[in-house]
Amino acid sequence: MLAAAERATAWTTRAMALVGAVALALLMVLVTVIDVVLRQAGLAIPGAFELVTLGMRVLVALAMPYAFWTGGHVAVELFTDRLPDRLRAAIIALGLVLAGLVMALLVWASWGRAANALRRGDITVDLGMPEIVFWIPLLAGAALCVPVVALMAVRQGGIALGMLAPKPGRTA
Amino acid sequence: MTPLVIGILFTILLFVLIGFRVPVAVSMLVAAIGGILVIQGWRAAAFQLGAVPFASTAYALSVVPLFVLMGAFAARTGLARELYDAANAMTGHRRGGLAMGTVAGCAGFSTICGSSLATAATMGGVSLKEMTRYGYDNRLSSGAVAAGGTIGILIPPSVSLVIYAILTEQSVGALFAAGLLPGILLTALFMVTIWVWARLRPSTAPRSDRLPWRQRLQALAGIWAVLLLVLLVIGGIYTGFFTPTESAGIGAFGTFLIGLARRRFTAKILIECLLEASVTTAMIFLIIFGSSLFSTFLTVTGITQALSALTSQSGLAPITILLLMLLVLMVLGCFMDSLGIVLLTVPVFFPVLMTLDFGMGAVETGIWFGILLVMTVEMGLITPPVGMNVFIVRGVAPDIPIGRIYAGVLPFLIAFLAAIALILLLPEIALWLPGRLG
Repeated sequence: MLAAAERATAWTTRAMALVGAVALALLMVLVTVIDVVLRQAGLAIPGAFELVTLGMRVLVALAMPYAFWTGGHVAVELFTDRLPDRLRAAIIALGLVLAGLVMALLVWASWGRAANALRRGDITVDLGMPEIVFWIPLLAGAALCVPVVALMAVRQGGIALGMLAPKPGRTA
Repeated sequence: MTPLVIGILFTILLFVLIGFRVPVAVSMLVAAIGGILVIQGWRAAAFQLGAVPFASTAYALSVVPLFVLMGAFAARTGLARELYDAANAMTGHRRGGLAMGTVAGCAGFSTICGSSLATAATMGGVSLKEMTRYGYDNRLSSGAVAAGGTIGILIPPSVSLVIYAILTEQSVGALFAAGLLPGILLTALFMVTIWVWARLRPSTAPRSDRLPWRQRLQALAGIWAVLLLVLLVIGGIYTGFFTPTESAGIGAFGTFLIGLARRRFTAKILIECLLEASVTTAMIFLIIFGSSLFSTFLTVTGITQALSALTSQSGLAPITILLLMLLVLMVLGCFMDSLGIVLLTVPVFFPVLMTLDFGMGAVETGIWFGILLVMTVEMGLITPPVGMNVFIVRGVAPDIPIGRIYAGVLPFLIAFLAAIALILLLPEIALWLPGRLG
């Protein structure tokens, strides 16, 4: 059951990160071709600024769950490395619970702001896009971090309680 | 409890959490939310937190993923080989020449890659085998790669300098210009270190074959693509022809085209580059989220103001305070990732530093401190117990014991300290070029 959930998470987070990667590729092309080349040719397109910002938000938010899942987030492992497996897993599990709570809070607090923008019908200056479009990727990415981190906490918790064998190579 | 005491308690909590392996970004968010909650209440904490994701992903920061992507592409273009060959063609026939070539190659690779870790990994992959083949002592070879990698962050482009520039509202172009001469100085000092090493222990650093000048020039000609790219990207920023984001975009796109022309990029490699750069970017931004809320927390608690007051009342000379800051950075560098340290300490140190008089303008002080900060933090990449570049070299060459790499790095650490001391004593090394470029 846990293994199946982990496989599904690995697949989903990677798929999302791939969408983020596509956004990054588009960002690169957008900045160089549309912004620089067309501007030099006197054909500047308004809104490049907004599209770049949107691209970056999509990229950052969608890659975030995968960064958690693959242990990409920077943590200091020095002081916990020499601890016995189960104690270390317990500490990692607590850290993950904390990370999950923080991400949940972040989504909840940002949702308040996003809802305001939606209610007021805020639009962007250049392209006239609804501002909520800029919020959606951020909220979606951050929200998906919560179950991902929770699943990781379950694995570490299982190890801490002696119900699961420690899996080498996986760090939090 | 006064806000200041609460601030100090939650700062201690931050370090405890980091010590307990909680991701640095999460630790910063937890400490900041907790602190603001206790001082200003729940609504204020939620209000500040809700602003973070939007405010911390403003346009100016789009330069970050693009430079990260440029580095990811650069590592797979095979350009490291040409750079190493070109450097070796000039130095290889001298004692220690292959190690000098490694350091010079790292400096060359730094011009297309803004990350120290990527520089060490890529150059290590090319140069370690070569040095082993010629019978180099593995302390010297691994030490040269680990130390050489640190040049990556100083010679532009540099992801850490970009983030410092954005955090402190300085010009990215000026900071890039400021990093160039210190980067060259560091390269030169590393080469002197190798020269001294080879003199003291000639058997550990043998000569390789001397190439005729014709072949040397051929090897040098092999790096034209790098030169062209540097000219475009860095030249574009310096002259103000492109914004930093545009330069980063051109750099990434140019590196992509070079890889494509050299038939190095398959669809799989491209996806790998994009995915790697996306994950690194996400990781960096989560720390930026943490740092941005932590700055708010510092303002709310008044810690920064208290520190400023404390430093002015202490009667300590500005340079002593600066040295103390660098000492803190050095200690943090032994345990923490460099970007984490930059994002954690700049909100505290920078405002305090700006109240001190170093006999130069505010902009110059900011630039000078930026270079010193990034250098000191980067030194942590080769200091025990957590020297990331040392781990990277170990990853490239698993047969070299970690203790031997640290032993090999030691003389380079002395050179590193000498470089920092020189820039402390002669700020012009960092400030001359930005001053010239206006």
